[in-house]
This record gives sequence, C-alpha cells and structure tokens, in this order.
Amino acid sequence: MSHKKFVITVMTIVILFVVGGTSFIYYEDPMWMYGHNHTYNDVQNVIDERQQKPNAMHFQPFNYDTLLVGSSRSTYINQNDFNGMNVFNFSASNLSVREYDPFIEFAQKENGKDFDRVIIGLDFFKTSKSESSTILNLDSYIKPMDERFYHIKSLLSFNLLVFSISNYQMSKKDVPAKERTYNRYNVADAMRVDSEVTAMQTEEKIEKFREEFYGEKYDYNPNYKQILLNLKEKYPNTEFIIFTTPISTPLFQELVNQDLYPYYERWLTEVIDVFGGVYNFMYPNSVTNDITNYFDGHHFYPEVGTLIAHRIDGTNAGVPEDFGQYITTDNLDTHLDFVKSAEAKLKNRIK
Amino acid sequence: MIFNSFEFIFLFLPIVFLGYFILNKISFTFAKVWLFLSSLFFYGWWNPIYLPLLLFSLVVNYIIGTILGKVKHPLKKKILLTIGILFNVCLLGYFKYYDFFITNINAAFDTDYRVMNLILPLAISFYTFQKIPYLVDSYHGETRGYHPLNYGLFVTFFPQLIAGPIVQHGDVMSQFENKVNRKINYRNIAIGLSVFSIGLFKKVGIADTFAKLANSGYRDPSVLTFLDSWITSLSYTFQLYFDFSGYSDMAIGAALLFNIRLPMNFNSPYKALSIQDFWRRWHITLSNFLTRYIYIPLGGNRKGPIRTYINIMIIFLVSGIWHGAGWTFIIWGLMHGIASVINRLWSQAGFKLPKLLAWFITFQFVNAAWVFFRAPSIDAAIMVFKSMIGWNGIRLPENFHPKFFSNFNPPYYEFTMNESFYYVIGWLLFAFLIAVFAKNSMYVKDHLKPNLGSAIFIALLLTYSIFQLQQVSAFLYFNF
Repeated sequence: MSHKKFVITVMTIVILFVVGGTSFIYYEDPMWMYGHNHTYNDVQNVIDERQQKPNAMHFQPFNYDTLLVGSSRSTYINQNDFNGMNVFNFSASNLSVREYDPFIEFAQKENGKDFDRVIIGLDFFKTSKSESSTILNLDSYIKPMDERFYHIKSLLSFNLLVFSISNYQMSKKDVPAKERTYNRYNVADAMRVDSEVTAMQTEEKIEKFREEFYGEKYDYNPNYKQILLNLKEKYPNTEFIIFTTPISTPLFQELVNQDLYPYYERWLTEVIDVFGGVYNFMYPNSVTNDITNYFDGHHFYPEVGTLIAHRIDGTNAGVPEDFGQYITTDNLDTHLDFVKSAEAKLKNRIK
Repeated sequence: MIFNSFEFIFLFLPIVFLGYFILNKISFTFAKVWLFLSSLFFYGWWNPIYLPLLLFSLVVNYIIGTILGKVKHPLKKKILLTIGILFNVCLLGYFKYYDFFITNINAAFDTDYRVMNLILPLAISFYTFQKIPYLVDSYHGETRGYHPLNYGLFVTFFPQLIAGPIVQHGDVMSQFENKVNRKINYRNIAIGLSVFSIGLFKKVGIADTFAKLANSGYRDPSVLTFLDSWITSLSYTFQLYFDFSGYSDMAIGAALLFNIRLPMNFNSPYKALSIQDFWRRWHITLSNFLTRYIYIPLGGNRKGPIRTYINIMIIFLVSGIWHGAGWTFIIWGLMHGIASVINRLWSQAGFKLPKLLAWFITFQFVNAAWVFFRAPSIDAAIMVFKSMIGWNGIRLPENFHPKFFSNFNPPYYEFTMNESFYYVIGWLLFAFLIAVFAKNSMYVKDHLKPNLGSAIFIALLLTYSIFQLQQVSAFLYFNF
C-alpha cells in the first residue's frame, strides 16, 4: 500500500465513523439540544438533568407561567397534570436546597419574565447539614452552552453514542427500561417492577438512609430556614407553592426509629414560617402506606405525581382524602397531633 | 488552542494545512507568512492578552541576535549576550517566580509585600528556553543570515509553541528554508497522521483516565489508605507520561504534515535502568538544553569530581525551578540531582545491578519523586508517602476477596476512588504494560508500514479519540 493510499484509507474510515456516529447522536438527541421528536427517540435516558433540561430550555422555545423545582421524586410529576397552569418541570436528581435559587434564576432568564408561581418540592433528608451546606450552582452546565461550536462538539462523545443506542432500543420497544426515562416533552416515566423487587429495593433504600442520611450522621442545618427566606425574598413577584414529597411509610418509620421526628416537626414549622403554608404529603396515609405506589420506597410512580398535581391545583380529581393536607400556622398543631398519633402507632408497631 | 480540541482537529489544522500547500503553489514566502500568522492565531486563541508579549520577546531577541552576529568586539558581544539572557530570564522570572519569591520573603522576614497573582503567560517557559540558546549561538556566529520570517516561524511554529519539544534553531531553520518542503509529501502525512493519532489517544484515552484517579487521591491525601496511596502515585506517574509524551507525539505528528521534523522528546522513559538513563529518555529536548547550555558551560565533568557533582545538582535544581514556582518542584529537582550523583558514584565504583532490579529501583524512585512533583504541598506529599509505607494501616477493598488474602482475615475498607477496584487495577496494568513493553510512537514514526491493518488501527485510535473530545481538559504542562 502506498503512503497516499494509507492516508486516504485512514481518513475514509475516520470520516465514515465520525459522520455516522454524530448523525446517529443527532438523530437520537440524547442531550436535548435539537428537540426533534420521532418514534425512535421518544424514550430518553437520564444522563444529567442539570445539562439536559437547561439545553432544552436554552435551545428550544421556553415560555411558561409556572416552574416546578424539586429533586428526583418531583421529576415523576407530569408537568401537564396541573390544571390551570402552564408548568415546566425543572426538577433534577439529588437537588439540594441550595440549588433552588440558581435553578429558578436560570429558568427565569430563559423565560424572559418572572414566573407567576414556582412550585417547590421539599425533601426532609435534605435538611441535614451534610446535604444542605455546600453552595451549588449551575455555572459549569450553563457556561459551555455559550461556547463556540457547542452544538457540534456535543455530538462528539462516545458516551453519548452509547446513550443514543440505548435510547433507540428503548424507543423502538416503547417501554422505559430504566428507573427514570423521559419522553420528548419533559415528562418522566419509571420502569415498573413487581412487588418482590419493590420490597427488596425498599429494604436497600432504608438501609442506605440509615447509613448515609439518618442516624448519627443527621444534623439539622440551622441555616435551613434562612436559605428558604432568601429564596422567597429574591423573587417578590412570584407566588411560592411548597409541597413535601411523600416517602413510603416504611421509610418514614425509619425516620421515626432514628429519633428524627422532632426535626420533622421543626422542618414543617420553619417552612410554614417562611411561606405561610405547605402541602404536606409526607406522613402515613393511604398512598404512602401502599408500597406498590413506589418502586423503591422513596420514589413514587408518576400516578402518585398526578395526585400531587391535582391536590396542588385544587381540582383534587381522584385524590384520596387523606393524601396531602395544606398546613398553615392555624392547623399546624392539629396536623402534627395527627402525624404524632400515626408516629406513635408506628413506634408501637416496632415494639 | 489545544490539540485535543474540536477547534484544532476539525477547523484549525485542516484549514492551515490546505492554506499552506495552496499558497505554496503561488509563493513559498506567502505560505510561510500564512503559517506564521496561523501560529499566532493558535497562540492567541486561548488568551490573546499575552500575544503582544510573545511578539515583543520575539522581536527583541531577533534584534539582539542579529547585532550579536555583527559585533566583532568580544567585550561588547559578551555584554550584549548578558543583556539578552537577562532579558529572557527576567521576563520568565517576573511572570513565573515573582509571587513565589515575594511569598517566601514575606514568610521569612514577616514583611507584607504585595503578591500580584500574576497569570503565567502561555508557553513562556518553553519559548524562553528556545531564545536563550538562539542568543548564545548568535554569540558564536551560528545564526548569521537568518531571515526574520524563518526566525519568527522557528519560534512560533504552532506544533511546538505551547509545550515543546523545545526546538533549537539548528533543528528546524534549514527545514524552513528548504524548498523541497513546499510540496505535499504523503509519506510525511502518513507518518504524521499516525503519530498524531497515537498521541491523541495517549492523551484522551489513557492520561485523562488516570487524571481522575490522581486528582481524587491528591484532593485529600489525609484519608488515603495503603492501596489508595499507591494507586494515587502510580496514576499520576502514568498520567504525566501519557499526557506529556502524547502532547509531544501530537506536536511531532502535526509538524510532519508540514514536512517539518521536530526532535524526539520521549523514548520510553519508564524502561530506564538508571536515573541517567531516565533523563536520556524523558523530556529529551529539556535535558539537551540543560546539558548544552548550563552543564557544559559550568565545566561539565571536566573540572574534577566535586565540581561535576555540583554541576549536576545545579542543572537539576534549575530543572526543578523551571517546572514550577514551588518548594515541591525544587525538592523534586534536588531528589533527581542526588539520585544522579549517587548513580554516577555507583557506576564509577564499578558496581552493577541485575537489569530487573536496576529497572525496579529506577521506576520506584521516579514514581516516588513524582509525588513531590504533583502534591499541592510538602505536607501533602509526606502524607502520601506515609500511606505508601503503610503508616495508616494496610487494608483491602471490601469487594476484593481473593482466597489467598482471605486466609489472613485482613481488615477491609470502602474503596471510593472509583466504582470498581478491578477497573483501576486493570487500567494500571494496561498502562504499565504499554509503558514498559510496547514499542513507542517514535518507533512507529521510523518504521511505519503502510498496510490495511495499520490503517485500520490508526483510524480506530483517531476515531475513538475524536469521540472523547467532549471531555476537553487542559494539558498539565501548560502550567509550567
């Protein structure tokens, strides 16, 4: 082989692979840059919601009156289930209370105007010092979006090629094969598991909480209330609607076992002090008692998300009466008495 | 601009390459002007603020060099040479060492002189070591008649501008003048493409993998276990080699596309059987500079053993300081200086170690010295060393249960440097085998056989590397 032929062969192979690979990544659009939708890309992997959602917000039309922000539990709420609101669900995995502000700030900038309302999903385990002290922002995700050739560069990734193949396979079967997948309209779905797997995953989740978040490692962040206050003061033209995410009763039971119930009370009290009220879903009730509403005892299926949306939008369509109560200073004590009695029952059950 | 970036591979390099050979059909001078301007663009892409400094240094050195070639009076020549060298040393000293110097003065004498937090101009360490030899050789009358354009190209030629190889005028000036190099040479392109692809793979395929492990280890050395510390030190040892030699390969490969042969910079240094051997294989162009322009003028080995050892210590001290403004770099340089002196004494005494033992000791020493080179402080380096000798206890990762170890009922710990301990061990083994047993890229450069197998191999390396470009990271040596 001559050197000339060698060069041509190398370049031909490289060009074929690069053009083929990047075209396929473009076709699947795993980072949500382009927004096209078809049968073979309508089930999308979660790669990094802190990059995927901002990409979609930045590169595609973005015009909403309501923003929903929360952690992975809140991702399962369908943004289209809120009646009378035009909601974008900007929730992301493992969201810290420190991230609500940068998330809202970015979304507001992309929206070009203040949101009428921001719905915030709060998680109790994020109240500890270890989970809420680090200052976080979206800078490392936003900055690259303004880099030259960002669109093209984002197609040159082996990892994205692998995700694209996975997206293609899931889309072809049209079933979510992961704990969380999205369609092309920012709506998440979850892979269904049988009760045996649910029980096992719930057990693992409780074990994880016992080791990582609850117990001796838990230390309520005394600045938690101030963080929420700062958030509220920063957006005076926006109505804040707060809800607590419903964890399963076995996981709530573990919280009680670890003697964290007083902090739960403090948490609800502080949230009400700041925002005037909160939709509380996190206590034993007919939804949280039914473990089949969850796939791991912590993350609920989208059907539960729909119930949350309907309770918040006030239509209450299909929502069990005992699921979710709006708590203010007026009924806080009554509500806590109710939860306390449920807690006592739980303790007795343990004994 | 960095070599492992989309901008370089897909835009800059193809455009400059095509422009160069198209312009060569019109005029060799036009083509070289194009290459010169392209190199300035390459330099300024990242941060144009220091482009004027590069040009200023280039012009001043050319003027001094030209005058040195014309002045006949020996004293005047010496004074002019001294001025020229001082100019370069002061420029480097100001930007690279001013803050380090002031910080130490403040610490030693309890003063409060202002630290300026200067940003190091890109590549200043490298181009300073190009220009000093140029002046010295101008003093010896070796640079007479250099055309300013060729001189400008010698200093700024983009493949070697940022991080070497440290090219001396004698290496390339005749190539820039040679009209044969105007024509497209497919042999050079084939070799250049192959060497560039190997270098790119070394950087994005291997070095960046180890970068994550090394960064994780050095982030908090106080928590490292025995195994963690060895993984940390070895990861950096391999990261640095594959990163820097990968960069040199890319520079050599890119230059070959323009029919310019840059000097070899690495020759499988981890195969070295002694410290002297190591320095004949690691950053060869730096060693050549230090030997030719510091060691030999100091007297080299011509003035007795004591002076020889002092001279050796001086060049390694300079090497340490050149690599970074910090005590850890100075200690690293002194460690290599002492090891070189011991090595010399050992050889002169007529002792000889078995090859395997010689290699093992050399590799272990180099690995240990890199700990100082990488650690953010002396304390951090000592912490890593303590863990490496088992000071913090010896435990096994909890998911690592080979029968042999289990018999001893060892203590276990949670391995957090990576999701899989086996993945880390696999990578270390892979890098070790390549660094110690594989033929290096310079062998490929000299022995490339153009056939379908090698074409597929190079194409796959290049394709894989291109698909890693999204994780663009800065080269380590840009900081020096």
